[in-house]
Amino acid sequence: MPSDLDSQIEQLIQCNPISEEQVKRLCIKAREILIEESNVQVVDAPVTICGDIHGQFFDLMELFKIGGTCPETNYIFIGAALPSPTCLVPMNDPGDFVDRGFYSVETFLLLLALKVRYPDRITLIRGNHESRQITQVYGFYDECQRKYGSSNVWRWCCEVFDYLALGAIVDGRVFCVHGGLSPALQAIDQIRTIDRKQEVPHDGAMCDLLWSDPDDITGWGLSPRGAGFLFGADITKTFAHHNAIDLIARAHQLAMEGYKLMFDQTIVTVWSAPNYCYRCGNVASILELDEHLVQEYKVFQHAPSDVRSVPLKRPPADYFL
Amino acid sequence: MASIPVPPLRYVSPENLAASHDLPTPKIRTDADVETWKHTNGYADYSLFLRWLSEAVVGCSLPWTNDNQSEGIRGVLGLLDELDRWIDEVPPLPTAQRFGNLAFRTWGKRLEDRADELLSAMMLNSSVAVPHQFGSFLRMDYGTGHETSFAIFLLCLTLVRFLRFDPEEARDMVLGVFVRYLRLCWRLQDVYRLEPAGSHGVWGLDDSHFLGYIFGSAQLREQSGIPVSAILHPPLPLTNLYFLSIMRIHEVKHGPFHEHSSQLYSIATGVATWRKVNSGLFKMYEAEVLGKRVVVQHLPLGGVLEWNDISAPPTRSLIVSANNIHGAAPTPWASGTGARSAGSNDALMTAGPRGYPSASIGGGSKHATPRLNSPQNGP
Repeated sequence: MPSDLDSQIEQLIQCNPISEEQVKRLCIKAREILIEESNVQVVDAPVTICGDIHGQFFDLMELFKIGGTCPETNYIFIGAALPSPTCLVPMNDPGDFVDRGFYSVETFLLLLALKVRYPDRITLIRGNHESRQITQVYGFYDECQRKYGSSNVWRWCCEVFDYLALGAIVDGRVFCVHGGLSPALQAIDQIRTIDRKQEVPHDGAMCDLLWSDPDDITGWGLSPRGAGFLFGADITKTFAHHNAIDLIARAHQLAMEGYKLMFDQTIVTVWSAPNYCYRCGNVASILELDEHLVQEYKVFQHAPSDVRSVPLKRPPADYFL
Repeated sequence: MASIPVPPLRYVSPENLAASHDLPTPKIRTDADVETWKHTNGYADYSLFLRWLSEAVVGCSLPWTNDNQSEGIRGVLGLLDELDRWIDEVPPLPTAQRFGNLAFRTWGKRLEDRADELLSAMMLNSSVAVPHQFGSFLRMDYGTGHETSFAIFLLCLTLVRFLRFDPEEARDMVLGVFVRYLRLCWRLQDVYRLEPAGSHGVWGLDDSHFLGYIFGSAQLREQSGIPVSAILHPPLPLTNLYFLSIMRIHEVKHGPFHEHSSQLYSIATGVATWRKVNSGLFKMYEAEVLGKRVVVQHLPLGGVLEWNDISAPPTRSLIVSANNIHGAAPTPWASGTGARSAGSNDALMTAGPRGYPSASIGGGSKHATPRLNSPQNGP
């Protein structure tokens, strides 16, 4: 499969979707690899940590330009590589940003193909967007329909989401998670007991890991997102101390400067989608940890528009027929 | 040739209004509730109302001026002006929030506190869910659900004839009041950095709005000088709500138009006439906004906007099945594609108010009606 896979990666790097049959086989293979991974993947430094991509394919190419290509660089993507709407949770869907990306299919499939090709050089961690419910209400489902004419690709991708790891730990000192902490978890080891192979639940530890946010509060607070919690400096420092970690690296929130350190540098938000939703005007960043876990944040801008694809003429939606 | 006749809109009399003290509340929790909603008088009224507004502005241009605005129109415009002034009085906080400036909650709190007072100045004594029309103060976002709330607010004012049911008033509602509302919302979105509430991202029509495209395509529907593809060549003259909405996108979004506004791009390159655009947008609005639980679950329903099961046949919902008042009117979403019977649509549109049988509203009805005072400038 490698040579076949290499040509698929080549094709995806050109932002050309692979065939439906190829997607199916890729997803099956990815599940076989992901099922062997633990809930909290153990990763060795040096490694480069990336935050939300949100289907901004050409910006992902910028990321690889400044961070190096895979497998030369070892990567951790902490979620929402995908499309992604923001967050809508059942009953009380509070908003985070919504599905923006125009190339969520290409973005996710490229990362997945790299995962299958170089399983030890790229770690994919589940984000709150990697869920059936959210992608169905928002953009990824629409995108799969538009690009493949059926929901098969969406369905296979969702099956892969269920196998994605919930976190990673770099050299035992840097804990990576998409959202944040949970009042149900004091120790990283407790995460290992979660049965993760399911749709993201509406509450509980697994949900919180994907949905929570650090905030300038004391203790725990209700999240305006309607899922997960807000947690303060005290919670963060206690967690870091109990688990003997230096840093929690998470994504999930737009940081205008590309990253945001909080609580005496015990937690950082890494955001890797520049000019999010074409409107936020933010820069993006990746976090490089060297072999001594020294942090270097590399900031980058959105891709110049001349590297983007030419507009494809797609028929308007059925409403206009 | 111009617009299509629209049957008259239900009239809710002061007596019926007085019969209930219930306020509208969010009623949609499940997908089944969405279906239930589609079979209520309130839904039928809203469908008819949008179609009526849309037909009234066919061939009309912006900017719109009317020296003879009704008292009702002046009242709503005054309300929006007042809310706009509050933005100056509640400046954004200097804190760097990820999204949504917390000052929006202060603005919203003021609106919640003063909604009754503002409405009583307009001779209305209920909040009629005014606060929901400008965004979510909790999530600090704004989307098509909020826009829909505002349109429903105008509908309620028209049902009680605080706003008149005649074409001139409809034009003032769309080209005066709605444009004013959009400008207020845009300012709120910019000053307080409100997030889009939950669009489909690049796969949705617009991050925050929808109705401007419906009204704008209606304005352009019967002319042929400006092709649908004209929107691909900005800057566009602000002569209609469609162009106005597109130019707003160019103000806030940067990047290839075909990427960040893929639906609008597809429409511009693939739909031949404004008539098709207009009818398609109606269908899309019904499916993607009114038919989506996550959007409509926050809508305050009931009250003047009757939440009652009219047991309509599922395939012919909306006004068709309402009752004999709405008669055999066509479903508005599917219309606009072919001219219907001739006749003076203005005459039809100005037809006097008719109420549902009193049993269906107020009186012995269990259905909630908001506390609205008697409309002062009723029919």
